[in-house]
Amino acid sequence: MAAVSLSHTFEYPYESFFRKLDSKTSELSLAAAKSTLAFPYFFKGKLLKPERTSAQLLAVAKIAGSRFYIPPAMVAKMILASDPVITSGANKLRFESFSQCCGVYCRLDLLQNAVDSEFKGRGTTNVDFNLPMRDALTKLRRGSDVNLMVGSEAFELESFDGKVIEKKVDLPLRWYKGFIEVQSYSPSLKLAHECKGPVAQRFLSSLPSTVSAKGVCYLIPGVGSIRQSQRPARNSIMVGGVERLRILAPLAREIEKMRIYSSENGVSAFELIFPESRMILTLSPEACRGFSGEGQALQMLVDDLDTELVDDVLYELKSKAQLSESLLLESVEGDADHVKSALSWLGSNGIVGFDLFEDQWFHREFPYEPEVADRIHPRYKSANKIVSDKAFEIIKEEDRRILEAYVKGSGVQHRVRLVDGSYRCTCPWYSKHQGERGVCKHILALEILKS
Amino acid sequence: MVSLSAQNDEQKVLERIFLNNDIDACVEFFYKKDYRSDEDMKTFVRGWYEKSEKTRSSEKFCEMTGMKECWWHQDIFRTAMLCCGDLLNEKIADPRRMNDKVYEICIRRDEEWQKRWAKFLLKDARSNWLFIFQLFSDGIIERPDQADYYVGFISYYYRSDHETTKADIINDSLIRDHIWKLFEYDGVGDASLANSDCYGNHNWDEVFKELADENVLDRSRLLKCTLEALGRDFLQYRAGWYSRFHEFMEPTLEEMASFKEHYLHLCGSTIPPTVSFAVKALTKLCKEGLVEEKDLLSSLPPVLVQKSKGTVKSAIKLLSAALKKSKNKQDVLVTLCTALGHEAADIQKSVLDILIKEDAFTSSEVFDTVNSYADLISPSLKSLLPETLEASDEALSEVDFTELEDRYNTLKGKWPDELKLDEFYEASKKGHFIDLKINPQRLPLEADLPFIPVASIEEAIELCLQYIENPICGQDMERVIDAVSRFNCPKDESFAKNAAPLVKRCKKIIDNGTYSYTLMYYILVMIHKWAAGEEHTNKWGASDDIEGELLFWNRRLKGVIKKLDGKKPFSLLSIPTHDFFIKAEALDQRLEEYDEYSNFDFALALLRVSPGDPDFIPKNVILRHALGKGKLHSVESFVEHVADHVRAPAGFVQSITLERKYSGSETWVTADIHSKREADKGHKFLKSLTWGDANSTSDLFIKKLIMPNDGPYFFSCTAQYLSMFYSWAEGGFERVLQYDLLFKKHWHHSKEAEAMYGFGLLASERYIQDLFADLLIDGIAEGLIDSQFICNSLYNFTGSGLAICKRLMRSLKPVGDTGLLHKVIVRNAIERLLCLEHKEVPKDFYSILEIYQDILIQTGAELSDEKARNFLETIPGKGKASKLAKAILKLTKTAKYEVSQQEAAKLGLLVRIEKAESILGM
Repeated sequence: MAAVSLSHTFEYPYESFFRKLDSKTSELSLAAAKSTLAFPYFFKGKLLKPERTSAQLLAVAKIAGSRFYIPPAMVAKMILASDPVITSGANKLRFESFSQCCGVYCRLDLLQNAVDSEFKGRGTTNVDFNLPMRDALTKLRRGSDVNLMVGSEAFELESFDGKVIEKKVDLPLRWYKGFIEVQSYSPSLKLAHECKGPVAQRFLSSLPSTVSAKGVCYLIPGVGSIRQSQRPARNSIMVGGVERLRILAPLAREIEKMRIYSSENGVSAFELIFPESRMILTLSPEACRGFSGEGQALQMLVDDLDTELVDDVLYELKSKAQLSESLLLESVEGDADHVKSALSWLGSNGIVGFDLFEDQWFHREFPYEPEVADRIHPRYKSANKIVSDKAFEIIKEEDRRILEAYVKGSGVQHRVRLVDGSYRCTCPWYSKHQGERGVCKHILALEILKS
Repeated sequence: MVSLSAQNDEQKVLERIFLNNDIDACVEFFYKKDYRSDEDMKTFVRGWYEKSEKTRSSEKFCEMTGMKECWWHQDIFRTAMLCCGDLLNEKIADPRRMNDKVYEICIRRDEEWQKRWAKFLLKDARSNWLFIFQLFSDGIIERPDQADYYVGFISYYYRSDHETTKADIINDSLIRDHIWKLFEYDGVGDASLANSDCYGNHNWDEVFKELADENVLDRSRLLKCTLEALGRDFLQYRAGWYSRFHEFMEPTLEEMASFKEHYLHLCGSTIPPTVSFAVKALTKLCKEGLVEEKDLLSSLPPVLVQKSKGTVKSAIKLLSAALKKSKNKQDVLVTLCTALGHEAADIQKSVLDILIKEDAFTSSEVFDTVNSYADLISPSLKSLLPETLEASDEALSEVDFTELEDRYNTLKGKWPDELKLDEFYEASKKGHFIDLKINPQRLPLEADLPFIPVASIEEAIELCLQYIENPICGQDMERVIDAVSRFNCPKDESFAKNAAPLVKRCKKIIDNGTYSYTLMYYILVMIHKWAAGEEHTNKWGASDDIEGELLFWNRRLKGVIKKLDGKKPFSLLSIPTHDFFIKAEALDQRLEEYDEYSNFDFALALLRVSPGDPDFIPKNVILRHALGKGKLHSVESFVEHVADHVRAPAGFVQSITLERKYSGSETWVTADIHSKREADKGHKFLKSLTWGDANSTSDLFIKKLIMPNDGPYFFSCTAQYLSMFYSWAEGGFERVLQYDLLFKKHWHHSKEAEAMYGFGLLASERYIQDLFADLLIDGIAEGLIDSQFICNSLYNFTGSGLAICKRLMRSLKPVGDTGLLHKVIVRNAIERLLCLEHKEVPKDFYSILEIYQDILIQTGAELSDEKARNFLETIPGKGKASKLAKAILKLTKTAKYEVSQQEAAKLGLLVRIEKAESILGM
């Protein structure tokens, strides 16, 4: 079956470039895609650590162009890399990118002390990361003066000829879905270990370059080391496809600290902390598993969602740019569970992101086609179809709770039964993943019925 | 529907050409006349073409059409299609089947057709390079600017000889112009300059150099292009060509000085050899004073975190030289500190020596920087650091002896003798560490990993569904077999409906052949028969030609399948009680209770039996014989032979030989294990079961599944398998060989295990080393491995003097770093090793000594054994091993020693107490 993809056109006013202004000063101008920003410049300022920032930006772009796992059936059909997403707000410039294999999410947060400027514009858009500009960035060395300009208007440029740069890419639906859904995993990540920069550096540079598709390892922190083991041990941290972190090795030398986050569902995150920036890499449970197939957000879609509360939460986030759950609770009318559920819903629709370091949500409207969000949950759609077609037969029910039912599958009826408070199904998806990657469409249909 | 019959004379001529499969005649036919406007001819050709594409098999096509027998029947029709001017399918533009005449036919056409053709060709520019180039030469298209076109250029010249290549470049300005693009694209697959020079018919580097010397190519541009190519971070293998070529061109100092910026930039490359290349060039320039300090400070930091010690040392030398002239020494010193993160102690020492010489710790910036590296600095160098540094000192142990005493008293009198708890308790009280492993086969099975059967038919269906989607866990497989046999009962009406998804899935997997010839095949057939009430097979599914373990396994499953009639539940003797083992008491009881069982079932049960309570005497005579608690008068039947094998498994003749091999300038060391059953005894079938090697991890898995008690055989087979990974890192190593397959708490770590561990710890494959480090760590924590075991494992290799000891830095060092108990055992193991006779000091022996020295310092110990001291004194030369030996000999006991021994003794006692508690289910 051919993968579903959506054609997306990045329209830039000009091509991003890097140029020398004089013998000492250079300018990095990142072209931002059309947006509704109030200012002609999204951002304009001087980079205080240009060498480090350029290396970080290159890493962000590299993630967008990387495929850590190539399915065997996919011979050489690579998708064209999507450009990174930039968000300005809460005195930060956030650059986000997502790998082509849909298993690695990367975000670089440039903090206030990374730049000599004020953050004027607020909003989200794409930025053009073209090859010549990346080439020029690799040549930056310590001591250079670099001005950074992110904008959608290029009237100051001498070479600007008014021609809009268009890049058409076919982005698979699973890519959209993964990029958006990765946010719903972030709150479940818990800090598992923090180490000093040199330890992180040794760990990152010790990683092999070949990524194992299904490899899972357990990191065991020790004094001055992080050992990789194949066995879970006390205080060990499970990480899938740890070799994917190798992409961060060129940045390792200047890390102040590294934080490792892990969660029960196998997702892990590695946060590199620099004096004026933070870079986080979130890894899917295995290199061959993208975030798109996890389906963790499905449950939220069937839960009773308080739409008014969602609007209130969104309003608060829009006005303050970044907020913690506890502060949100003070500002909106709703209990913790409902606020959490509203935030998760917003996250799974590409409207908010989660900052692990600050334990806060931030507003960021995903700059892709709005109808995408409706199309990214095929399991949810199938489940709704089962309900609307009444393709089920309830066998046992108690207190409005379905205890046993037959749900129509392809050519057979799948038996869904409630055991110890959770449903079991006889379909191959459930049999394979046992609920670890979200519920199957048959169970979801019953959940919809229940709600 | 297209007709294949020729309608006129011209078509009849072409038909004859087709049937004779004469491509040249076909081209000639179309060369003479342009048939593009002849719709009948085009339809006729398309008919043949489509027919040929639909019939993949040339044999079948020739049989069908009467065409002359050939290997590739499609070629002639593709050629004809192109010559007809029909671009129906891009396959027809396959240039391997085309020649100049085809090209001529094509360029006779109008511009629009040619453009369409060019578009076709560019879709696979690599394969179609020559024709695209011709189109470009003829001015029909513009020069393509896509990577695969230039990859095609490399591929095209791959087989060309030196003189032809050179002549083409000299005579054709367009080809000459193409050359520069080879520095922008590194290639694809086997098409690269690096590969061409390795395996092609000429060397590009020689061609380019000669052409530069003859002023055909611009020498300066060539040098610059190589450096720019290196800046593009091509794949390491391919990038190597550009650095080698740059050096091959022997740039003068003046030329190098003009490329200084490039060399500085390449220090940040992600390709380690490129970094080494750049540092080498900078070293030359620095000697002549052509590089400024600020440039070094800006470019060298990434070099200091390289893995290659040589490259880091060169960078340290450059900075050290800069330091002498520097006005801002602090910046240089802080930069130098980056190298403290290197794992090699000698690199760290060279930095610390400079810092001490410069009295650098007085600078707060240097102090803080060193402080951030404090935990990474080798224990042997800690004395060089200021006392105020905040290195986290590893806690020796936190075991509370009073709590241990309480647990010991609770267990008193209940533990098995093998655990020697009294001895350990007394020693621990005195602070004496006993270094002795447990033989778990003399112990009852531990209470963990019990076999939990499914409780209902619903659960059985769900388990089967789950298992066929995740056929990995061995115990689940036994649960499936147990479930289908116990629920082989008449089913109610709902069963067919509930089991329908299972039936459908089984059938699909059996039919698609994924598991043909594997252990899984008969499991699927068995599940299908149970769920559907009828057998469904695939003729490719299983073969009875298979020997050894798989045949044994198949026979067992076939027995179960035969009995699945949906009428009467039955139980199997061989279903485990714990993990893959069966408690002897349980088996004896089953033998009494079960009415009937097959020979294979009984044999497997015997192979899986665990001795259990030493005082237990089974009622069944065969089981009694197997456990050595009785003796059969004669051993005749298959089952009796199996019992005899279990009673006294045949031993192994085992040795490991290391041999140095040479091929040209390359030398390497191979390691081979020689192990086979000593006695050719027993039943024919049993022999085949216990004789074979393991060629894959699945072989190992089946061996373990069937003979969980025969550890020595399993270890020996694994060692044999791992021997393949001693000399080279084999890319295709199966990652399935994982921890759970190799580690069993119930296995005695015999001499065969020593061989296996030796191969694992010294494997060239990093993944295997890590795996064996894990196994060793857990083996020590479980009390299954002592220092003698590790010593023997290593001595199998070091004894001959040919072991590659450097690999132990990766596998043995983390074991020592795990905790105090592990440190003491590794320390003792190395001490024992040093006492043994070595034919010569093995290569990189310093690695072992470095680990040993670190542990001696961390545990406050000294090397007291006279034999070991004598050995270290005899290490010749002024090399690293000799220096370390001298340093070790100088070490004396510190106050830490007594504490570490006492704590290790407590940890040793704790291991045994936990073992006893686990056995007793406490």
